[in-house]
Amino acid sequence: MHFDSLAELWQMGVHGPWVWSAYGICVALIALNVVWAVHRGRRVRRDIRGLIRRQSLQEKQ
Amino acid sequence: MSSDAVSRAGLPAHFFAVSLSAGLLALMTWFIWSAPPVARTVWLAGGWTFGVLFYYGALRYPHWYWQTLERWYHQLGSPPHFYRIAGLWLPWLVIIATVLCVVGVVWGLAFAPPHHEQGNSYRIIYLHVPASSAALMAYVAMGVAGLVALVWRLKMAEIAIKAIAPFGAIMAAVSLISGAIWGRPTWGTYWIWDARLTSMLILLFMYLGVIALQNAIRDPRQAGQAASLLSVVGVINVVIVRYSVDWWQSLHQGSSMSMFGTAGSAIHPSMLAPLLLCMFGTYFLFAVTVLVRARTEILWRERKSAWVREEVA
Repeated sequence: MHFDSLAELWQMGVHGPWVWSAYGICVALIALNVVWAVHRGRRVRRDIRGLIRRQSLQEKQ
Repeated sequence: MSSDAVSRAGLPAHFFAVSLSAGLLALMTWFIWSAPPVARTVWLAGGWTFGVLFYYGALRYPHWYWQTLERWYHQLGSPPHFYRIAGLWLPWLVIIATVLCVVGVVWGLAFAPPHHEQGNSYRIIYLHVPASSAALMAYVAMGVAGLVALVWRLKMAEIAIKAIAPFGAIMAAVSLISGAIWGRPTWGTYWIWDARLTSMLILLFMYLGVIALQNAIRDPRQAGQAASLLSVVGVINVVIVRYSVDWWQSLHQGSSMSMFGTAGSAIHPSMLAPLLLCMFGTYFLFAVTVLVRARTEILWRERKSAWVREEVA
């Protein structure tokens, strides 16, 4: 590792706040993108299951 | 190319194919000759191996090549096939994207040497450059899909645009935010109305425009056509972003990486290696989120068909 300790890695000389805030915000955004895509997939599957259920109920009546 | 016609003209049947491939390979050799020795060797060996194998295969089994190409086009253009193939690929793409991104970021943050002027603040590059390049690449992909959707009215191309736009918007935002935070310690400001920064902001608005257009029009086919048009027209902005640092006076530095540049990359291999890992990781992440979103969109559009009902049940 280039740094001698984890504390030095955290401080990054004087640039710790810039580097870690950039990584924090942006990694959160990228993770949000993935979670959002997967979540929408689940919701659409649930909605289609709901459609099928409603349709089969109507057919029975 | 019919081999009969060529042999009647007195030339060996594969004369044109051989000269064309040899010409392309020679051109490639000439382009990368000035690259650093390691990169040059990898490109050359890879290029020649691929070229020779492809050429040999195309000569021996022309029908197989043509049929495979045709099958790919039909399978990728058909929603149920695309859904199935994407489902097979996704787990592998997730693994590759995760490994590349994690190794690249840890390497870049903790193991790469510091920059001689910027110190450790340059480590934002491992976030900024992959995100910017993915945002630009995604728009070009959207433009190509838009062209296919406008010319051939392929439904999968419209779905692709809808799947790409959110990823591109997020990456453009990541590029702008990480760039702003990097700018403060390096340039002394978060933001200036500079050609590179402004054109990148416009790219974000183009992505948001494509998303808004798709949500504003109720009929999915009409929405798809409108979004395709905006995707194709917007590619001009990608060119502007790419060359803004050369065309106008800019605070933003020019590109430090080059695949075929005269001097090769202006960045030391110890810093370049993690950057390349992060970039490839981001491209795989692009594939992952686009395939996930495309699968969702396919399910919703085909919700009345029997195969979807079996799939979700």
